[in-house]
Order: sequence, then C-alpha cells, then structure tokens
Amino acid sequence: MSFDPEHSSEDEPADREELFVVSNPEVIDEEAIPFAESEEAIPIAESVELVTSFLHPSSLVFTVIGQLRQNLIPAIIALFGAARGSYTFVFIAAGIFVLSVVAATIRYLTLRYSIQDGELTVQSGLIFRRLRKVPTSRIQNIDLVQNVLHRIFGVAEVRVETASGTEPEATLRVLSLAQVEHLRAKVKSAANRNVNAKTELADGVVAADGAPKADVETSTEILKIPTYWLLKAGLASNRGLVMVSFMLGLYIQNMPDDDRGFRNVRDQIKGLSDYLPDFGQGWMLWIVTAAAVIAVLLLVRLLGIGWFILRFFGYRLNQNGDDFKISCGLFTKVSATVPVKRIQFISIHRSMFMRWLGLASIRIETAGGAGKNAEDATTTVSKRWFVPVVPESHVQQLMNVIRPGLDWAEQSFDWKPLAHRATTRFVRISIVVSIFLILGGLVASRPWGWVPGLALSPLLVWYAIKRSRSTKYSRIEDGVIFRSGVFTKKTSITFFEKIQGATLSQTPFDRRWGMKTLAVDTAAAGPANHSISVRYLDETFATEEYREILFKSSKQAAAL
Amino acid sequence: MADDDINTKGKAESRIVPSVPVYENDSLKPVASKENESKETGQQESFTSFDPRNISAERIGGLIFTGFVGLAMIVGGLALFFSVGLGWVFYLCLAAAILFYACLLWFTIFWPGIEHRHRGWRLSDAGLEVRHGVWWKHLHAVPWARVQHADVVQGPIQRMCGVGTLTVHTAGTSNSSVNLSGLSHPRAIELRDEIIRQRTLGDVV
Repeated sequence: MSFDPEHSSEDEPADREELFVVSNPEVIDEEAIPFAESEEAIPIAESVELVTSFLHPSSLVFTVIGQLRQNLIPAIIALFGAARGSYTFVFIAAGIFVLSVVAATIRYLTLRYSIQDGELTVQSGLIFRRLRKVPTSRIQNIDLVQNVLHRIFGVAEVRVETASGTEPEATLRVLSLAQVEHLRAKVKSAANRNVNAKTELADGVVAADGAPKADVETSTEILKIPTYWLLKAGLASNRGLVMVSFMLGLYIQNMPDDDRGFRNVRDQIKGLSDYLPDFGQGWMLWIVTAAAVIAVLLLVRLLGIGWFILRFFGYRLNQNGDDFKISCGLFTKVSATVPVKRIQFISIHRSMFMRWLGLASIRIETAGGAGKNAEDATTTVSKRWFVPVVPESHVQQLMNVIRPGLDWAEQSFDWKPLAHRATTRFVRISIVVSIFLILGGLVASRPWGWVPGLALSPLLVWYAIKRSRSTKYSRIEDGVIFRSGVFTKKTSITFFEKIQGATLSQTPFDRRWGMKTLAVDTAAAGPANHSISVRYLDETFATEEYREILFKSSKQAAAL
Repeated sequence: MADDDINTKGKAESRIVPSVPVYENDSLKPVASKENESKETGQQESFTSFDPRNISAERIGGLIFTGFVGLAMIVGGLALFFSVGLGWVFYLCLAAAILFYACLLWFTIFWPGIEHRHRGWRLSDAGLEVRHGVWWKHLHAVPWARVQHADVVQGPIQRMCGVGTLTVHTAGTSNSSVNLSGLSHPRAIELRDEIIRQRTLGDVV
C-alpha cells in the first residue's frame, strides 16, 4: 500500500526526471571503486583499508518509503480531501513526495563511506556537507535490520553504534549483504590490528606480523529458542494488553457519547441485528459480558504470542570470538552484535506468569542510546530482549557465558536484606494510605464509601511486607547485585569496572528511620528498566558498602 | 569546626596543590576517616568546605532574583489596586505578599550560609567525593579513572567574588556529572588539573 502514492506520481513529469537520475548512480558505483583507488595513494594491499563505497542503489526506494511512512497522515488527509473534491491537499502531498524523492536521490548520490587509518569515515550532504569519522576501535557494534522488502532486494539497513549519545553513530540505509560483510570484516580486522598495535606498544616487542586471532572465526551457538518457548512466553506476557487497550480506546473514541455499548455495535453493523438477538437485558447481559471479558483475555494472550513469534522467530544467540551475535525475526530480520566487553549491566526479569511457567528473560545494557524515546528494532532485540525467554534451568549457565568468569549462583549469594525496620516503615505507609483511602471514600460517597478502602488495606499491608522482603542487595567478587519486585521480580548485576560513580543519599524521613539510599551509576542506557538504587538500606551498612564499592571500582579501573 | 575550615580556606587561596597526589595528605586518606564515617559529624570532619566567598556570590544572585520578583509583585499590586481599589481584598493580598516577600528575603539572605555548612568535597584514594544537601543529603563519588572530562565555569557574579564552578563529567547516565560550584577560582583550576592528572588513561566504557 505504501507503493500507491509512488505509483500515482509516476506520471508527473517532475518526478520522472528524478526517477531518471536513479539509473546514474549504478554507473557511479561501479566506477567509483577504481577511481577511488587511483585517487588515494594508499596501498590497497593493506587489508584494513576499505575504499570509498556507496550505498546500495535500492536505498533510493527505501528512503522514499521511509519518508512516505512518516508522511502517512498528511497523505490520508489528502485522500480524504480528494474524496470530497478538494485537490489542494493532493497537490501538497504530491509536492512532499517529489521533495522526498529529490532528498533521497541527493542523499544516495552524496553519501559515501570508507575505512582508512583505523577510522570509519561517512561523508554526506550536498549543501551542508557532513564528514563523520569514527575510530574503528570505538565502534560498539554493527547491527542489521532487514524487513521483508529488504530481504527481497537482498539488502539491509546497517547501524554503526558507539558508546555515545542517543542516535547510532552512522546509519547506512541500505547496503547489500556483501557490502555489509565486507564492512564488518574490515572493522573487525581494523579493531584487531589496533589491539595488536597496543599490545606491541605495551610490551615494547614487535610481534610477528599477521597473527590473526584464531577465535575470530569460531562461532559457537549458545542458545536457540524453539518456537514453543516463544508460545509460552507470549502466553505469559502482557504485551497484548497494550494493543487491546489501544483498540478499546479507539472504539470508545469513535462511539457517539451517549450510546456506547454492545447494542450499538450490533445496530451499526448492517445485517448483524438479524442474526444476533438483543442481549441488552437480564441474565443474558451477564453471560455476554462474561464471554466478552474472556474473549478479551484470550485476545490479549493471542496478541502476546503473535508479538513474540513475529519478533523472535528463529532466535539464535552465537558467540563469535569476543562478540555475541543475535539474529531473529519472522518478517523483519534483525541481526545484532554485542561485544562481550561492552556489557554494562545484566538484568534477569521474571514476571508472575513467567514464574508460573518456570521461565525467565535476560536483558542487558550497553553504553549508548541513552535517553532514546522511541526504540527501534535493534535496541529491542539486542538490549531489551537480549534473551527473550529461557527456562529457569538455563539461566545460571547462560549468565556465566554472558559474563565470562562470573559464578552465578543466585540461591547461594549472600543476600543482604533492607534495614530491619524497613518492613515497619512500609507497613506504616500502607496503613496511612488506607486511612486516606477510607476517608476519601467517605467524602466521595456517604453511607458505604469506606468499604473499598477497608477492603484494600489488607492487600496494601501484604504488598508492603512482600515488597520489603523481596528487595535484596548483594555484593560479590565481580560486582553488585540488586533484586526487587513483588510481581515482576528483577535481578540485576553490574560490575565494578563498569561503575561510573556511586551516590549515597538520605531524606529527612530516612534520617528518622536510620536509613540511606545507595545508588550506583553506570553508562548503561536504561532499556533494562531496572537501575541499581537501593533505598531503605541500613545507614551504617549503606555507608560501608558505598566505601567498598568506590574502593573496588577504582581498583578495577587501575587494573584496566 | 566550620569556622576553622573557613579560616584555612581563606589562606588556601594561594596554596598550591602539591604535585604529589593529593591523597598523600594523611587527613584526606579514606582509611583514616573510615571509622567515623557513619556519624554525621565524622563526615564533616574529613570534607573540605567550599570557598566562603561563594556565600556572597549566591546571595547576590539570589538578591537580584528577589529584586525581580519584588518588581513583578509591585506591578501586580498596582494592577490589583486599579482593578479593585482599596478594599479588604487589597489589604489581604498586600499582607500575604509582604509575608511571602519577607520569607523569600530571609531565604535568599540566610540559605546560602546554611547550605554552605552542609557542602563539602574531598579527594581520596578512590576518587573525588562531594556532599551537599541540607534536608535531603547526598554524597556523590567519582572514581579517578571514570572521569571523562572536567570543566571550570565562572559566571559574572562568580567572577566578582573570585569563585568558580568545577564540573566533572563521567560516562554515567543517571548521574553523569558532579558539580562543585563555589570553589575559589584558582583552586577550581588546580583541582581540575589534578583530576585530569589522576585519571588513568583507558577505555572506560
């Protein structure tokens, strides 16, 4: 459907011109390589150099489609306008389209990348020229995204990430798979060369040249997720809830104010009233309501399953030398690389349903991408859902693989509870809250308003006790572990060499209770949704731990 | 104790941070202070307080702000006078405004001093530590090797008072910079150089 506007505007002359240009770049592309070779006086025999290359020609199509997707709403408005006989918006939409084609063409013609002197250089822009150089040793990962259309063309969107900022350092939209492999290999060899050079410098000994690391080639499969795990995970997830509530919202929005409800749906859909009787009264209403609720719950589960399968079908986690490589996806295929060394933070999440099914999911955090609002496919896969679902029995083994040298034994860690008065404090808060609820209810509705508040209060107290008991802190040889959560239990670990700073804080209330908050800051961007900030720790204990963490992390740094 | 600190700080102006690492000063050694850390008083002992001239800098800034608030209130009062005239509404508003302004004035004049007493910094084996907060107390620490870069900034009022702000940045996300505002300017620069010197080179992310 996204092709439609493209098709319609093809008969516009201005456009044809633009499309005409498309054929040129292919020629340039072929010419460019020998040209660049001759231009730059760099010996090509050097394996780490990558001569100036262009995007794949089909990138034009994808850029235009991407632009169109962004302009979908104006396009719809234009269509509505056209249906009512006013063509102003159609012209505007056509104008936008032409502009986007021009922009795509310019982008395609001007963007070029190369690897020279250990730097990835990306050059783009016609009026405002932009030259970006990324040292290959700083590249965190090169991720690929391939949707169905990409796969038809045999191309992929490539994102080069470093530890900085919110956006990928360079997005190459799109490269052919051969180009991608080439780029990856070059980056890898450049990085290795860098490492070698460093060690040479450090040792003061010139090592024998060309000693490629043996482990670069070996790729071991760590985990493969069969579809039935995904089914289970989907069943346990509340993903569908978001979509269902969205649909419900849409439905309520679109109904006239005074007649919401089932009867109106029946009346609005022509012919349906012949088949369905009027359920509007008596016990029938209850049955229908119950059926509807069950249907919605089922829908939630089904959508959850659908989401999991769509995203993670054929999930595979490989270890490739020092990198983890994930690939998955049913239609849109994502292939992400995560360097082992760059993992800042590992978090195990177990929601209530997952615990019933004996499952867990593992999330990781790397530096970079901080403060990003809309997460894209690669972030979703490589960070938020590093391992979307895994049986509880595999967790320990997997953790030890993800972090080499870690001895993960969750049961036998030396878990430290919160300050012993924390439970009292929580319970007191919950009692105060329920008193307010009761009073508020009484104000709101006179004779029986206090009932919900009173009914809720034992639950609140129960939650308070549970909350206090489920929050634990532990320090092991490698790092700091924090676990919390009553319904969704989260266990997170970060490592001393990744800790960027520690904070100890105390509110006036804390002071009364003799407690302190201990927080640890890492460069992790936050998609794991769990930061190590332990509130309500015992004052003396928190201070000791703060000292210890600070000491250990600075010592680790010295060793680095 | 605070007085003592201030006195030494006044002379510390010209004092040059020794070229040996600062933590060689045994008073700053974390080991020495470890026992009395847990107590509030113990914490204060080992921390260096900021330059007392910062109090006047803060005060001047606050007074300028308060002055603008006062002007705005006068304009608001005039508007009220012309719309409702001299009635009980006007007097009530006037009383409330005067009370509010008195509170604000008290706050601008005395708060910087109170805050000053609760702020401090120190260098230790592990890194740089800063504490601040009167009611909500915070203690931040940055290990030496995690420092990404450090800036010294000096605003116009700060320049008048001879103080500056040192900001130390890390690669962290939730707390990526530590602010030391109100060091004497030469001290801020010395400290910045010291921090950069102490920082071991390496890939910290």
